Amino acid sequence: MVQRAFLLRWLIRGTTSHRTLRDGSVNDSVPGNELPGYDHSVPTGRAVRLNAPIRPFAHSPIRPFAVSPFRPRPRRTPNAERKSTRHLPLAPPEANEDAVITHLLRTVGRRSLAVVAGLGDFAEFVVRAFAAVSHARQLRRGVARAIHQQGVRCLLVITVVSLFSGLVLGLQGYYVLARFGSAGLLGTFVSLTLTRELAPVLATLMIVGQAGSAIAAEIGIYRYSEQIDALTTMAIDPLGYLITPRLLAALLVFPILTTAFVLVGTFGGYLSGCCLLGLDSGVYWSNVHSAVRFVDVRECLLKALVFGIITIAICCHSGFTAHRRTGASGSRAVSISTTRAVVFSSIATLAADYVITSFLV
Amino acid sequence: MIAPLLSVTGLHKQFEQHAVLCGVDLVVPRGSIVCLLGRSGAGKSVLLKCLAGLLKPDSGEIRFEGQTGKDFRKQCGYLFQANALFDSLTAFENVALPLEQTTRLRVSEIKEAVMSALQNLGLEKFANYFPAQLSGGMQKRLALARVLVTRPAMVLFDEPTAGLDPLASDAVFSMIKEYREQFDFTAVVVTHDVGPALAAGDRLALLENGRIQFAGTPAEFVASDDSVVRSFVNRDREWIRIEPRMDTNGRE
Repeated sequence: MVQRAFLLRWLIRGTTSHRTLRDGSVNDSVPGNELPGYDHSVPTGRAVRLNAPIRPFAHSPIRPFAVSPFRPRPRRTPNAERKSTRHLPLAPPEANEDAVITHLLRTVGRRSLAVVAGLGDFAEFVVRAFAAVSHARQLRRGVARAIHQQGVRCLLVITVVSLFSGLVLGLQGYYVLARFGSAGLLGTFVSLTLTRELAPVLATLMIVGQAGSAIAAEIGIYRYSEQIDALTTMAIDPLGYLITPRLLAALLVFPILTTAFVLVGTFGGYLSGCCLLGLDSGVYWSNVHSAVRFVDVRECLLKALVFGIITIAICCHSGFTAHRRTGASGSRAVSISTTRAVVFSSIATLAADYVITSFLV
Repeated sequence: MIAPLLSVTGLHKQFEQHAVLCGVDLVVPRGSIVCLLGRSGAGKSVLLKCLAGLLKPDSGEIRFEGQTGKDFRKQCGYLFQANALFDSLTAFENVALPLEQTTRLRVSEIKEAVMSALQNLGLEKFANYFPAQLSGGMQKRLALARVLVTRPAMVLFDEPTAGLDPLASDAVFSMIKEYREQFDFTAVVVTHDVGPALAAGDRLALLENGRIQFAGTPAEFVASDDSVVRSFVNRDREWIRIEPRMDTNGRE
C-alpha cells in the first residue's frame, strides 16, 4: 500500500510538494508552497493550479519520451527566412527533379571515377613493384627480413589458430556426421574443409592481422617522416627498396603458412575426433589420405598465393599512399590507412576466395 | 664565363587554387653557396623540392650542367629539415644505405667510406647508435654525413638551422662552408637566418610572392634599396639597438 501511495504521489508530483523519504513514509500528498523541510516542485510564491494536467516523468531522471506527449507543444513561429520565401513562386517540379537527378548522377559518377582511379593506381603500383625486381639492390636481404616479419613472427599465431580450428572442426564434424551414421568420414570432412577453404582464408586473415597491419603502419610512418622522400633524393627506388621484398616474401610465406595450417588443423581434428571422442585413428588418417587429391592441394596453394599477393600489396599500397588521404594527416592518416589496409585486405580475401572457388570447382 | 651548375627559368608551381611559385628564375654558380631567403610560406621549400625532383613543377625549366631533363639525383644531395633519417637503421647503416643501393662497391670499401664520413663529422663513436639515441645536432650531422658519403656535386639544405640556437646555427653555416671546401660541392641553403647567411653565403636570393625579388652577393644585398630586402637586413640591427627595458621599480 505504501508503495502504491508513493507511486501515486510520484505521478502527481508536478503540482504538489511532499515530504522526502528521509522523513518516513507519508500517506498523503501535501499541496502547498511554503512548507519548511519539503521538496518544492512548485516554485514558492506561485499559486497551484488545481486543474493543471498531470505530467508523469516531468521530474523523473528517466525520460521515456524525447518530447512529453502530455505537454502541449509550443506553436512553431515561422522564422524571418520562411516568411520571406513563402510568397515566392515555387520552382517548376520538372526543374527540381532535373536538379536532383543531376546531383545524384554527379555523385555516383564522381565516386565511380574515384574507385576506378584508385584501382588503376593500385594496379600500377603492383606492376611497378614487381618490375623493380630488375634493378633493386640487396633484394635477398630485404626478402629475408620480410620473411621474418610475415612468416616467422606469424608462425605461433597460425599454429594456435589452426589447432583450435581443427579441434572445433573435429567436434562439430563428428556430431553432424554421427547423425547420418557416418562419423567415420570425419577425416575426409576435416582435411577437405581445411585444404580447400579454411586454411587459405584463415591463414591469410591471421597474417593480415599480424603482419599486414604492421606493414601498413610502418610504410605510412616512412611516408610521414619523409623517409620515402629521402630515398627518392638518394636515387633509390622506394618501391624496389620497401615494397618489392615484401611482395616476394609473400609469395613464399603464404603457401608455407597455409600448408602448416592444414597440417596442424588436421592434427587438431584427430585430437578431438580420435583422442576425445573415441574414433579409430586408423580410419581417420586413411580417410585423410584418400580424400585429399592433387587438385585440392593445388587449389589450396593457388588461393594462398593469390591471397598473399593481394593482401600484402593492399597493405603496402595503403601505407605508401597514406599522405593522399583526404581529411586526415600525420598519425591519424597512418591509423586510418592501417585500419583500411586490414579491412580491405580481409574483404578482398573473401571476394577473391569466391572468384577462385567458382572458377576451380 | 663558366656555365652555371644549375639554372632555373620561369618555374611555376600551384597547389589547387594557391599559386606558390610564379616564375622563379635562379642561377647557381658552380662551387658557390647560394642562400635562399624569404618569409615563412614564401615557397622556399617548394622550390627546393622542385629542384630535388620531389615535386613536379607545372611549367618552367631546370638545367643541370646546361642540360634539361637529365636525372641529376645521383649527383644531388638533399638535407631535410627534419633530417629524415631511417629510424630503424643504425647511424652506420643510415650512411651506408645510399652506397649499398646506388653503387657497386664492395662491403669493405663501403665500410671504409662510411667510417671516414662519420669520422669527418665526429660521429665515429656513435656508429651503432640509432638516430633516436642521438642529440638534435648529432642527427643533423649524421644526415649531412649520409648526404656527403656519395660525394654529390650539389647539396640542397632545407632550413638546416631550424629550431637551433644562434650559436648552433652559426656552427651549422661554418660547417657547410668547411665541408664545401673539403668535399667541393655546390650548396643551395634555404634559411631564415640573415646574419649567418650573409657571412657564409657567396650569393643570396630573396623569394617573395613566388618570385625572386633579389639575387646578388651579400654586399649587394646589404646595399640594396629594395624595401623587402631592407626589412630583412634591418631586422637584426633593430634588435641590437633595443635598449634594456626598465621595469616599474627601475630595475633592468
